[in-house]
Amino acid sequence: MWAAFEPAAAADWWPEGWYDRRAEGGPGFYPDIEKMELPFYWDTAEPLKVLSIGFIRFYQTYLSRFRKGDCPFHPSCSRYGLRAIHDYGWVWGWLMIVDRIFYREGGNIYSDYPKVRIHGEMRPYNPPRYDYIWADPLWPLVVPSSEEEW
Amino acid sequence: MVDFPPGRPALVDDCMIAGDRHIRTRGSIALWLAMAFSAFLPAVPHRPLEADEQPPEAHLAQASEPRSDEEMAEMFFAEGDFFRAITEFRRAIFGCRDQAKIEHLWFRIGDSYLHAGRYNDALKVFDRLAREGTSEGTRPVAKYRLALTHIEAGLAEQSAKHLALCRADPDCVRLAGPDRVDLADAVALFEGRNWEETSRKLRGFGTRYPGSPLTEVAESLEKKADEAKEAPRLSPALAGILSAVIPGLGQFITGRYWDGVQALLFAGGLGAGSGVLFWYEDRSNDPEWVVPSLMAAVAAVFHAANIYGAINAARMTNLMSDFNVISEARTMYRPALRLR
Repeated sequence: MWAAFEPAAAADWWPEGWYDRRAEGGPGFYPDIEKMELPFYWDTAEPLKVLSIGFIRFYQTYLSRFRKGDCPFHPSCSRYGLRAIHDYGWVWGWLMIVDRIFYREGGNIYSDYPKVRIHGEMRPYNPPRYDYIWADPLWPLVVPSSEEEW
Repeated sequence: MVDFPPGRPALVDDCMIAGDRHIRTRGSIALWLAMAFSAFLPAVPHRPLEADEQPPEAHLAQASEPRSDEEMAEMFFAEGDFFRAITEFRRAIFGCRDQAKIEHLWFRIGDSYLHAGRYNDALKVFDRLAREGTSEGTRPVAKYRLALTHIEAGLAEQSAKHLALCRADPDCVRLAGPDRVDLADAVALFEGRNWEETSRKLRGFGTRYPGSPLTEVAESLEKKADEAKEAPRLSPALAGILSAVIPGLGQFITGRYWDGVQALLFAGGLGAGSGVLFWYEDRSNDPEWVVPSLMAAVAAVFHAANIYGAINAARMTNLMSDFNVISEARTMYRPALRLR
């Protein structure tokens, strides 16, 4: 049960050639990690994680077209959820998703987060790694530098 | 020949499909006449030219002038088109036989990657030049550039190591400037949010390097470090505890008022509702616990997310305040550090 609270190892995500931030001498910044395609998660040891990811993928494929998609953040809430559950487990992932969907409309999101230009418009940049409170916030807050990277 | 449905064909698409019929439609005749007529019109600008403005055809004349690949690359670099500059620099390398010139061109490629924000590529180029370069004018400066790229990428710890290597090389210090290397040290500390160390490092910069053009930048940076040190900080633990006691209170102290109200409504409302249902079912003859239990479970999830969100909001507020201070200061010290 406690495995659900442990984050997944991030090393197997990274493309060949990128350095590990915690390794000696590595640059440790990942400007395009969010645009990496998530591998299909098929680990029957964590069925709730599989179910959660499956539910979000079902929403993205079949239900999102009925919603006008007005999430101001980048990445979008469903993509954020996929990443959060995959990286940090279904417990912390769902907490982060509920926080992101319900508790982010107050304040000024354009000053509370760094901004990135996506398809010509500036959007607050909020990947799950900014919000995982148990880990190093990965200072500096690496923000993709240009729209071409997306 | 394509058989299309009866009726008049459309102006453009069906004319093209209709084959021999397109000449006979009135719309296409008008189109061809307009195209033929416009070929004889002069290139008239839409508005009068400014005093220093060139006519529209001037860029054609400039592009037809013979230029070397390196000159073209420097022109793209000056315009800010760094990726085209890299292509032209590579093209210049392809036709070059002088090793010193090749290293200089690679140095400019590294500069282009640095200015474009491609820090990983810039690191590879400068690292190779610093280790394997043979040119006396390029290798020492590549060491400084390597440290500078680490700073710009935000890798303050690694940049300190490379600045120490740069300081150990007298040619590197001479070419980059001892005041610039010192400032780079302070900037590395500043980017790592070591405000106290930054102030200590920059104290007396003007007296150590009298007449240095970087004194103004150093004084501004010292002032920013002092301001960042004194800036108020929110406590994530306090925000979490407050939100645990009263849903939404932690969001209130971080300035997210509407989030606090929503947390109160969702978590507090659902929790209160489930409590009422539990109380009501407890007094009924045939109690049913499914709905109140589900409601309580959902309320618990919202409450846990509310606590998590309050902690995260306080944490992100602190991080963003540091991020904004550093972002503002970067516009000041980055041009000063990049000059050499």
